[in-house]
Amino acid sequence: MSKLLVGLIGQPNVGKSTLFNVLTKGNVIVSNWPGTTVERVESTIKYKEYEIKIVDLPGIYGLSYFTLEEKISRNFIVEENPDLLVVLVDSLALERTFYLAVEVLELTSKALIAITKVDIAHSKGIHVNYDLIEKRLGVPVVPVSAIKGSGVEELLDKIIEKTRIQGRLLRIDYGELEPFITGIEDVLRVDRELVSKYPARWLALKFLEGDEEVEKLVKEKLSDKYRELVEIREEARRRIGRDLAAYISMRKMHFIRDNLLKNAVVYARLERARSPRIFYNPYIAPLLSTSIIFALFLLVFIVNTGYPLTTILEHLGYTELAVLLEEYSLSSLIEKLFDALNNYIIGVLGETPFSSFITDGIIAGVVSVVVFIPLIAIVMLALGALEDSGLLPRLAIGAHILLSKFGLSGHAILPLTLSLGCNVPGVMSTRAIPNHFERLRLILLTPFIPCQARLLVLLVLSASLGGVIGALLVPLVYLASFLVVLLLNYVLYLFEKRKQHEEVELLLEIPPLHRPYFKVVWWFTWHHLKHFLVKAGTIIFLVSIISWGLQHTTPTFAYTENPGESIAAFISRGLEVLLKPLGVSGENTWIVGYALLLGFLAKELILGAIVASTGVNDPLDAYRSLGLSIPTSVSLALFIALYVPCLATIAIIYSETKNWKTTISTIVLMLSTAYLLALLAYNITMLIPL
Amino acid sequence: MENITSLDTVEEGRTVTILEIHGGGWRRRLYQMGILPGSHLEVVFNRGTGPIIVRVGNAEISLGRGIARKILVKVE
Repeated sequence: MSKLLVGLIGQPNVGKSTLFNVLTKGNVIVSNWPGTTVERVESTIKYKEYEIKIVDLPGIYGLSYFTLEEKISRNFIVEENPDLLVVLVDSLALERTFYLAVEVLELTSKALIAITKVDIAHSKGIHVNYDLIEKRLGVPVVPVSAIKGSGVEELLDKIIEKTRIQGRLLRIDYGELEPFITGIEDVLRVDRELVSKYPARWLALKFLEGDEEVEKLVKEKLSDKYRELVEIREEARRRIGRDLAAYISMRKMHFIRDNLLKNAVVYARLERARSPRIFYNPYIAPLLSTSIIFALFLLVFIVNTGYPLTTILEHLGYTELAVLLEEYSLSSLIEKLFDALNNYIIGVLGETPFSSFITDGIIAGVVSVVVFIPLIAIVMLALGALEDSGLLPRLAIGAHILLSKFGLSGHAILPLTLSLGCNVPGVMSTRAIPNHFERLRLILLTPFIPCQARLLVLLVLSASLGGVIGALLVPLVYLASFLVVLLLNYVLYLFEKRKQHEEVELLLEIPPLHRPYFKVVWWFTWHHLKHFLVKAGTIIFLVSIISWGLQHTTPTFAYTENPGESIAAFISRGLEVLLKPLGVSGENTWIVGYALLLGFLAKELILGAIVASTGVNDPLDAYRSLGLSIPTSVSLALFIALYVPCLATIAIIYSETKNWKTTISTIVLMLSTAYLLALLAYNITMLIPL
Repeated sequence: MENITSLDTVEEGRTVTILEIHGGGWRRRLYQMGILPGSHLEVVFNRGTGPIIVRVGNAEISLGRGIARKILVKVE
């Protein structure tokens, strides 16, 4: 069996991940590109007598050395020397998406073009003469429709066929720049090794563009000729009279429009699929975006926990209906399932330290991970549908108008909303933010947004309060969290602006609106859920087992059934000083301290800790048995919503920034903000006569 | 020469040719998206505030005002 290495490359929104998933049927291996946290997704498939390893390269607009993703793609082509690159071009945006294809074909001849979404293009009356483009380009051009599954086998056949034939590099006429390109090429050819690794013409073009990496390479390998090369470039700049990179990009665009696509594309019904302009309106769009996202999350919260419909029903007097709704919410259904399992195990093993370890240690650990899978998945499904339908980029416009007043751009919409599900994928999704400083600020601040785990704790606190204050608690805490994110971001933005002068800006493609494809939405969900499972899952699981140990061991290392004399209680008593100003005092203080301490590791452990320490089985009754005052509960709710979300988020912040200083500053910022606001909330609530 | 202006001031529905793009880390990304000197754009939406929407070929792109201000165009 022969082995082939194939890279899949394309601009964002061309349908690359759809094609990748159809080709590989979801059998993927995920790792990181060397030295980065960017995911490398690959899969090996068997086709005919071949074993084809397909690597899904990051979505990029061109092959400059401008973004990390572009560097990764270029290094892959040059260093790993794949047998073939499949360049994806979107039939709905041929002119623009051919740009990357042209850049690739100038670098390597081992490539073919796959034109995607041809079924949609046909229905819109766009007809392409693939043979003509193939002839003009000198590489195979294959039309595919990944969603319909058509053209996929032809693509695989062409991949195999193409690896057997030698091709030629694409040669574009750069007009007035040609003599300078040849001049540089001649100098470069002195270094045989260099021009055997990279095509000389390509190096010359990149050198003229001022590409950092090529500049460095040439300086290093041809140090004695470097001055001569720079002089040629200066001369070229004088002759062309403008930025050479712009000139080269322009000639490429001209080639695509006037040579490659001319008379090869027919727009039968040139109906401009006008997207609803309401999303663009500077006055309506912000309101519309906020309402759509608000309504969507209202629905998600109701499915997950029953809240806030349960509270509304209760206040209207339909208590039974509210109880019923809560019982059949996702979170309570999962809980019931595991309660039954626990009872069964205790029934079989009896009440021993071992059965306690199994049920309260291991199973509790599994539960605290599993319980969140569907809750988070529903958030992801909702956002995936928004993203795939093309609605999310439109909502980003309205969001941009609002957020730019606080120094954030519309690009922030995905990290901010994903974080309502889980902060781990929320922090990871900041990668798509083009502005480096804005991204850093979001990594620092999105963890303030309450995730589903914190929602469950907040709901217990709000239920314990009851009445008007109970009903208002959760919305107020969410409001406070968003305000904290926006205001802190604004402060940091003002500090940076003085140094960087870089404005937050929006630069976003608006793809056509369509009904979401379930397959694609599911891939979006799975992609983000995976981060929770791998990162958060393992940490939460381990931590629950360790915490069981701390609760059942005394400071003299003996087994105990009474958590009050455990190591956990011993450590937590040290926190009394800090809890006193929030109105927590008396013999139960250590329980609150202990719960918050565990909450630092994972928020879902808070309720478990209170249940285990009080010995009262139901989380709500357990919390009530602590006998905390209303102002204390309010301030604790705010503190829980704002302080460090979990150990997994901290781990992600470190792996995304690779900087301990940033990571530790985040922890300090979160703890101090949460504590100060909790203190403030306590004292304000004290003033309100309840 | 009053028809040479920055992109953010162009009325809706007008077609423009890009003359120059000034500064900023955004420039390369704009080039790759087909927004570069010599290319034709249609201003799809511009109400004087908020991002403006342009059409390049068959795709719509939303641009922040700060970026649009740095793009010098000729109105046709």
